[in-house]
Amino acid sequence: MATLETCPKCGDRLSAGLCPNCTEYESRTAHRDVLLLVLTSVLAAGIFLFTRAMAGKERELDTRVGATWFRTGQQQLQAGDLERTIASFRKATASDLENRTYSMALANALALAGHNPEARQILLNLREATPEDAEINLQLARLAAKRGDIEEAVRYYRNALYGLWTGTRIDEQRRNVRLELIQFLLDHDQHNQALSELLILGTEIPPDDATAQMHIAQLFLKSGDPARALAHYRRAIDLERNNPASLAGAGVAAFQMEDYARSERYFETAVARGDNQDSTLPLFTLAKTIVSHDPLTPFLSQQERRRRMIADFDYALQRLQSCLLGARTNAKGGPESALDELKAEALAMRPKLLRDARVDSEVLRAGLGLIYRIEEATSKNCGKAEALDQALLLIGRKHTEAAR
Amino acid sequence: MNIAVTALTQRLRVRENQIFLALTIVIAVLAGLAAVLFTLAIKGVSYVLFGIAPSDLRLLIVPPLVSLVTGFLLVKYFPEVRGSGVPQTEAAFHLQKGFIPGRVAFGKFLTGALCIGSGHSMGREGPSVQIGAGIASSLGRWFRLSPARARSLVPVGAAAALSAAFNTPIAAVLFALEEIIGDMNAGVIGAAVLASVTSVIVERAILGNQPLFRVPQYHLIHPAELLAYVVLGIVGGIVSLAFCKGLLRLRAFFLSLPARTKLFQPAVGGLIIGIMLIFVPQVFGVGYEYVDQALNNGLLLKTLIVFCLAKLVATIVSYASGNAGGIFAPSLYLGAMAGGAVGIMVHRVAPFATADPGAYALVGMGTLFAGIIRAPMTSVIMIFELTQDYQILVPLMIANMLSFMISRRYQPKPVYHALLEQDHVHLPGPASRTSGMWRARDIMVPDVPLVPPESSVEEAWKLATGNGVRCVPVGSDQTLHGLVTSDALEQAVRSGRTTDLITSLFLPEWQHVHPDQPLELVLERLKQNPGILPVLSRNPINHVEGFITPDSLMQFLQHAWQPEEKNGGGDE
Repeated sequence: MATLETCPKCGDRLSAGLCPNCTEYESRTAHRDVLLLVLTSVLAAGIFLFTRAMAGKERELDTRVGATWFRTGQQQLQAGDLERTIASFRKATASDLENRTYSMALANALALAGHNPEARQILLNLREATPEDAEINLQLARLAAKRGDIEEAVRYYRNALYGLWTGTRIDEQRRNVRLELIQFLLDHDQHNQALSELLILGTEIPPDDATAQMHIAQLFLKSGDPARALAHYRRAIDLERNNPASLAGAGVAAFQMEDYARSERYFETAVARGDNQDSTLPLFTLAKTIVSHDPLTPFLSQQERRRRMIADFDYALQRLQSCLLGARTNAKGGPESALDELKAEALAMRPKLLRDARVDSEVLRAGLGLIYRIEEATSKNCGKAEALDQALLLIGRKHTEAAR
Repeated sequence: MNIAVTALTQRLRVRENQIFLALTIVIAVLAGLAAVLFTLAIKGVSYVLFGIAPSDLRLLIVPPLVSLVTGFLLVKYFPEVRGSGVPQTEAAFHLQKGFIPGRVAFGKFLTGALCIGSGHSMGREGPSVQIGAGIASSLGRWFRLSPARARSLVPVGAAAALSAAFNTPIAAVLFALEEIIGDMNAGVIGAAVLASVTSVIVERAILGNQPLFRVPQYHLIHPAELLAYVVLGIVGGIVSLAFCKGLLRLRAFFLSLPARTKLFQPAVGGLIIGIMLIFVPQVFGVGYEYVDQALNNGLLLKTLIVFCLAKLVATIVSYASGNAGGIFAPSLYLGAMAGGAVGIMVHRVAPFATADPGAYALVGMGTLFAGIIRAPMTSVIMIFELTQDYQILVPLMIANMLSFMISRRYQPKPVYHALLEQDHVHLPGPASRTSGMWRARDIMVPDVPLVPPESSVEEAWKLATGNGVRCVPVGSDQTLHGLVTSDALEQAVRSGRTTDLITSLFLPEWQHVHPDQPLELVLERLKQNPGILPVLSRNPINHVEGFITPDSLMQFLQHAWQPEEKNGGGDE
């Protein structure tokens, strides 16, 4: 292989195999490279600082713009203009993406306007950053409740209950959420879940707060636990003796417990204290009718017990006969045989009642059982029952079930 | 070879490798900063021009007034920066050895910020790509890198800028490979990844780790829902097609107008945009806030459809009238709206439970991107990067592929390439970029004289009969005007039209090749031409490099088959 004597690049003579010209050029290039790299790095650092300063200014501007739109949105919300409110809150959020308040406001406005999927999406995005935030979970629960998604609603309500709350009166906020959850569960016939939440709520409410006691009593009543409802009503009455609503509520609870005498007393006091609820008076009347017709009311004389029994029985038999007559006239067929059987049974029992009703409580209970069956059958086949029919039905049920 | 010279060359190569690595990082930082600054500048311009709550009058007059200024700048000082910037970057990479003049980055920054900030319905990603590539190209020249190295910096700068502008580093690398280079196995991938990661770090250091959109959690509720994504793919393909065809047609119309109107064309676009802004302000600028709303189920069906149509028209008008801005963001906007609309309709009619419309909007973004930009891999990875959820991949791929196929079936040229062709630039296809083949440049005869266009039929006939050629090329200053066959000349002479100008006998249609195109294409096109195949430069398109005739082809093949002469195509 031939050895070169001149540089193939510049043509200069090589010295010790190297071209002095090119070596010097290379050295100069290396120095230039380093210098350029340093210069560009300094330039980059300068631009970085400048860009950061500009970004900071822009962020400040965005924050100001966001605040302006947020204020505008709040004013529009107060004026009831939901669509404009949403547009303003959107702009506020777009200007200041990190501002949680704006996003929450937007989500709430969207939910108010019925744009639930978007509201939910915003809340879910917010929740990703702060999954334990009680307010976000509560809003999500409300949206799920609106959708009727019980499972999701309960999950988010519980997340809200055990989440982190901000501000003051946290216990009160938690209590309100639990109340909301209970209400939701009751509205969706989830009585067992509602009851378990109510039991917790019962321990949380202040014992000296009559309104809270009354509220929880109402919820117990709704969830089908009149005994606990009555206990809370009584606490409320102890705190506010003249509160007609508590008295009426206690009357209803006692009525549901089939303690008609106590129910009558509560209703009586409620009406005397000025209760004017539409539902009170019919129930009061019914309770009164029951109390005055029940042959097994304690402390009645034998004659009175017999009188009531015979009167109740005859009334029921009469209703059965008129019901049978009506059924035959309409010639519908079908129920007559059952009603005939009841009539035959009643006619067979009547002499026994006349004979033994004074002394034998078993005969009385059997008679009441038959009255119950007659009233049930006639209500089913012959239309709406009168107040006394309802009373007899309830009397019959009470004693039949007690016997059973 | 002399050991010392080898050592010198080796040292120079080592030096270039070291510089390249350092330079990649510097470029990434600068391109990332430029992209962030560009974003800030757009917002700043928008605040200055429109304030917080602009009046209708302001919405109407600002876009045309600003477009008058940008039109002047674009015509007089920065003609290379009209439109997106992606096709120009591709052209610079493939045809100009990666050379992008220093003024391009500055011009794009300035005009892009003004155009987008003044309400034109365009994206910031395309301009960012051109700015990043411009910075990279300039730095490559300052550092006196070898041409190949300097060229390979262009996609590096593009990837870095896109990564900072869109906050999806992997998709940015793929975009540079798939769209700019056109080769997923390009050797520059390492540098592009490094640049992309570096620039995204810079971007997050400045703007924080905030996503561009609040991306909803993706769920495929029911397997049959995949059918709905088929529908989305078809809708995406149709919308993509409408966008591409509309854009190319309106741009062709603007380009066909007299040159003196060029200065005012952007302002015409601005006026139309101003009118649109009064009625549909949601088409303003990039529009990512509305994409966000569509993703989060914030828009009703009617609104989605109106926004989609309005954005389609607004983007076509803004781009075709010659303003500076990209179509990357508009394609995502259109996709989100079309996807959201399909999602709502599916939700209404499907007999099974379906995902929220937001999920469809998300897939729609990728679908339109695949249909318009024709970078299906980038679109899949981009949406995946946004959601970070594997579940989205199958629906996304189904919808993307359908949209891509429909769009390609009826608009074979990708929109970026078609836009370049309207500017008389032909990008090389994949075959032209493959090494180790015989090319048109190897076969062509470079010095064939052109017959001047002012020649008469008789003069041309003499020339044709004298040289025994079947076809005469007509042109001047190495610019080809047309071809005339000897048969046409003979007929004209026989009919006594000897004094007619030769231009009256031009062939209505003829084929050409570019110097880098392969032998197979030369053979195919030579068959379609009457005995001569012009070899034209890619940019400008009608510049003659040479001609290929059956004789020159035979001569080349005779030489080529001698093994010592050339073995570049030996494996063919």
